Amino acid sequence: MSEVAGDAGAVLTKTDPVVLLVGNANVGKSTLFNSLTGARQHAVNAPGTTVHLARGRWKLNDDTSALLVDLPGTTSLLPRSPDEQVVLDALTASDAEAPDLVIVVLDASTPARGLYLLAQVAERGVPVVVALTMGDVAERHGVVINTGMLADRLGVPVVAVDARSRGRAESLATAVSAALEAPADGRARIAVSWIDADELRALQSADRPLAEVIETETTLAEARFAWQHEVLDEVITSVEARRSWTDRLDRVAIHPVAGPLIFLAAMWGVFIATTRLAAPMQELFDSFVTGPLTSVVDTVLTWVGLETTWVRGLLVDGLLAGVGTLLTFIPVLAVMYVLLAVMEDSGYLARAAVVADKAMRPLGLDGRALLPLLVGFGCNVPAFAATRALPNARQRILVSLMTPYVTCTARLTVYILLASIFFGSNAGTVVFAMYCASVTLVIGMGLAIRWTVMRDVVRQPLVLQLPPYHAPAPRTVALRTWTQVRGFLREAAGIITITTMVVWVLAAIPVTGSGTFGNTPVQDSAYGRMASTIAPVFAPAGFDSPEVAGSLITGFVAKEVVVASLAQSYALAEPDDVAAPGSLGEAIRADLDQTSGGHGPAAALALMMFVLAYTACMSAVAAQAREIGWKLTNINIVLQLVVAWVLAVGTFSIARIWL
Amino acid sequence: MTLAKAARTGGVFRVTAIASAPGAALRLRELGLGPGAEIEILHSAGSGTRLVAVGHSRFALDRDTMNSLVVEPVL
Repeated sequence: MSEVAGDAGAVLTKTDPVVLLVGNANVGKSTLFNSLTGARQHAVNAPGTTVHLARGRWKLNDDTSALLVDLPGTTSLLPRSPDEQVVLDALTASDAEAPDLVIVVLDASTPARGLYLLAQVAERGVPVVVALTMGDVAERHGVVINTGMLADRLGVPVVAVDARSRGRAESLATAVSAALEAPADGRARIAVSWIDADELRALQSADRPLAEVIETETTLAEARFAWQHEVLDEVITSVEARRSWTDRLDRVAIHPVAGPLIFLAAMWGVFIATTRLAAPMQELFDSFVTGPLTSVVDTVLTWVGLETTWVRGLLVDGLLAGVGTLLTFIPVLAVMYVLLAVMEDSGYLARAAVVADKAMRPLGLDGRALLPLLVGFGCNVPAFAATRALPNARQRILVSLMTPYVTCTARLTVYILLASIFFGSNAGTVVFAMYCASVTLVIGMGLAIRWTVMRDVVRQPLVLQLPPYHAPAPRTVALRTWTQVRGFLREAAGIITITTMVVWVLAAIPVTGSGTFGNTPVQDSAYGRMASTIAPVFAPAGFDSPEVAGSLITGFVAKEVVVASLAQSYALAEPDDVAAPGSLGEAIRADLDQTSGGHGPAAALALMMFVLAYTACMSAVAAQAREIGWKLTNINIVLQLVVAWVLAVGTFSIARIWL
Repeated sequence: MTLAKAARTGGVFRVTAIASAPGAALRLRELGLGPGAEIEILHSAGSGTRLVAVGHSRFALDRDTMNSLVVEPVL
């Protein structure tokens, strides 16, 4: 028995047969996957890529189970994007990953495109079982498919699965285990055998020029279509094509005027949900950590006699603070994943892509890219998760690299503090200017990245199939949310707790001889020493003060604690209201006036620009890494620091002329 | 005529040819929008983007794509 590999790199022992789920986008593949595997699944990236896959254990009967792999939706096996390449790679894999069987998922309401893909899969000579989804939608649209006839025609089992009821899953399991036992009978008959697997491999080998491949593929496409038409004519009884409520809804949803309004309303809803709805739950988690959990730790420490030692600091202010940070992101992420799944499953996401298409066109993206960017204004962490709304990996990377420049609410507290201190009654204007700067930076960075390292993200002509609207299945939504949140926790837990503990340890180590470990003034600690060492880097930006540099280091962990860290560094009380900073305000003002040579407001602006552009927080880093991998994320951390520094220096140099 | 032009009057049209680069043309074929496909014009989404019906499928096509599809009316 092999356990399903938890990460992409793990080697799979070939005891369970590998079954692939292949189908067009939006045919209900993932819903089917979820109903077959339940919670026995893992979200992974395809080897060497940032393309998301889900793998799970599917119990076929009492003795056997299969490794079920949910592949990205694809139009054809001639790949045009990394996601489509992953499908082809999975189909042609050898050794342990070689597919034993492919379930081709056909949308019963629009079977034509699926049959085309089925023909391509059949050409590969892999055993096939057809799963027919969306039967309910098809019925409403007046399409009736004779499954028996289709099975006869194709020579492979055809199982109607209603993803919403688990009962049908059993007939699919029966068909699949039967097909696995007799693989030779499992190949689909594509009546005209216009090409065989060997010819196909030669045809699509890498050294053939693309133009030639396209030419041959075009001829093949015609053969496949002729076959597909024949099959459909035989097996479909189409009662009159009724104008469905999908069409009536679409009249409004993609209307030139109403469409964008609905889109904005939907985005506003997502934004409010990820910020406001999640807030009470965040507080609950937070008070759980600072309340009961801390008292439990304290009780245990008292019991073992360590309550007044540094161990308490390490556990409570280090470890528990990290766990607290991690936990507060769970509600935000869960809400985001639920909304994402609902928008995708209901069919609205495809409409959003159409409606906001024009806005994203210059970036080579479609309207779906707006979702993460707008969500980012609330919090960057769920915004990275929302990049999953995008159809291909390169687009997801581009948007993931733009997202950190979207200014989140945590950074807002820093702007309000600094703007109130230095700009008094004009503070509101300055904060608004920061939001404008953020939008400019997002677009600017997007264009810069696209014109340099991501020239391959070319705008595809918009040809988007719009799936019929239907109510999302709560079970699927819940499963998907759970899998994703669990994945985030698994990946982020280590990095976040380690970072908070490292910061605590640094602040605990006395370096000047005064104080003891865990009981030393900030400026006498290793952390204070580090801040003093880094501070001169900010001299050209006018804020080379150790206190400010120290708060920026803390800001790397979380922007929410920057104000607290500043207060702690100046050994002052943290103001209750950042807009009325009191003595902390005076301290910061005096400090920045001094470091900037009398240009305090200019230095404050530069500092705000730095806070806007550099790493949002550790959780955002973890969330980004989950989407685009650690290598790119690390490069991006450096890129952001450089951009932030250049912006800060630039801002200071210009602003000091007037301020 | 092109589908973009045909869209002004509305109705059902049959694709006779695709006037775009071979790669893009192949993708349209794969999506079922190749020669022989019957396309019904539905709603407009503004700036030349249209919702069309091909059988039971609904597609959103932008202006460039609409311009690349050569069609004739289905009587």
